[in-house]
Amino acid sequence: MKRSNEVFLWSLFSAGGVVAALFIPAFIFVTGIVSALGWQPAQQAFSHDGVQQLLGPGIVRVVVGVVVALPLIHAAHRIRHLIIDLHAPVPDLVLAPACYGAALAGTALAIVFLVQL
Amino acid sequence: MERTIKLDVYRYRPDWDRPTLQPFEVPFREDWVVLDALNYIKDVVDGSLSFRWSCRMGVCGSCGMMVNGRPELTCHTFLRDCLPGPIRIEPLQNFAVERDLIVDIEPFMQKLQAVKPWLVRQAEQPLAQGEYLQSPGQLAAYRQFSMCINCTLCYAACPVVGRAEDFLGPAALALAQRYNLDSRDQGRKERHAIMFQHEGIWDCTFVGECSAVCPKHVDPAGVIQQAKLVAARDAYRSLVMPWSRR
Amino acid sequence: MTTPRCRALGWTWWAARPPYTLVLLRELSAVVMAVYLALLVVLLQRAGQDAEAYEEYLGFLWHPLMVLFHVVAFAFAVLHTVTWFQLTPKAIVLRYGEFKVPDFFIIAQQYAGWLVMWAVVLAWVVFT
Repeated sequence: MKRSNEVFLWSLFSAGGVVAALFIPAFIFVTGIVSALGWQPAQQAFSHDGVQQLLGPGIVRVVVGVVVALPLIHAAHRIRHLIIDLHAPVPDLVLAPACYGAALAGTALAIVFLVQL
Repeated sequence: MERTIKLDVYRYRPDWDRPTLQPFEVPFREDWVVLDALNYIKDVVDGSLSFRWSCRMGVCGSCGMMVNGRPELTCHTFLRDCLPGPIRIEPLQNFAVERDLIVDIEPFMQKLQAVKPWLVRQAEQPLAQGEYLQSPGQLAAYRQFSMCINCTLCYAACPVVGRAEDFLGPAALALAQRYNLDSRDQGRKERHAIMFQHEGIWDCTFVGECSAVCPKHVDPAGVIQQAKLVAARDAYRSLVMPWSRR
Repeated sequence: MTTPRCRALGWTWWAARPPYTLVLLRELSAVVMAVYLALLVVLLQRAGQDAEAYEEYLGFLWHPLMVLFHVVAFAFAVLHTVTWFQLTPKAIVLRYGEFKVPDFFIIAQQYAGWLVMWAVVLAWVVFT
């Protein structure tokens, strides 16, 4: 049973790794660096009106949802294995649900918020 | 005054409380490897020093040791590349020390055996049919992984081997895949059953140091990730098409 | 015979040699990424609320200290990208008979894809 779970978790980790590698640097750049430092287009895009427009189209919301969900699962898998590899005395039966549970919670919230916009 | 280089060599007997690092001064020769220095110590200075070696040319896999904290074949490591010294020689990490620089590789032997590193056939081809034929392309599919000399440097480099005694480890998994990819082999299913356990490929977190230290460039880390992809493909295929028997 | 001693790479394996430390940093990128994603989820929540709640969050998110966090997060995200692209050709082997697609092409193709994504995200921000 443990074996068959691990392969699916790994495949999600892999997919999340690709999405994270492609998108996350750019997302951090526009949401948290150039916008904060005053670059006009980003400031406008992330104003309250701007962000409604940014996340208006359904397809954009789906993409943003994916960019949040898959990297979250990727991060959860990596953090779980890092904690294991650091020999932390946390049983996997506690650690795995905690990590993937947090990722799923984040994904669920993201979906709810994106739908509610 | 002849040029010399200092070696700090791990010494241990089972009846000792703790090991020591014993310093030796050996002649420095441009063309000497660490193994030459160890043999000089044994021949001239201290005959009680114990270590494994055989071919002295990097194909038997016997002389693996930690040289300045890195797993190396001592027949492969030139003294001139370790200047100015001292060179610290210790037994391979992640293995139990029997005596001095000799480790107990029995756990590795058992893991190796577990993956059935031989051609598995449902039925042998009758002799009259001749040899199994293999194209260069079919050979290329597994050739790199067949280069493993079982030196276990990869086990010494792997933090997961250090953490989990049961982890099959880089070489065993690479050799399992070597046979899986061999067109003459029919034992993939049996090996997958062993490889796809938790102590198989899933314990690996792709640190990659096994491949970095491998003297034959087998790239076990890459092989394990390739095996993970195979496992994922098989798992999804059996989900989507549970009737297919592969 | 007394039990042989086993010298295992302990939990401080990441300090043993520089390659191991780089691997630790690579793994830690996931922690920083998770924090950023949490901030992003909150941004999505606030975006659906009134302007005052949203602007209040921006005041926090774009604070100079948070800019510092985002710069660090960006560095870790790039570390993830670079190491991920580097490792992909190890896992994905494209072999046609004796010919194997060189690692360089697989890595270059990923960077090309990355540049396209940068262009898409920047265009999305600038032109919406």
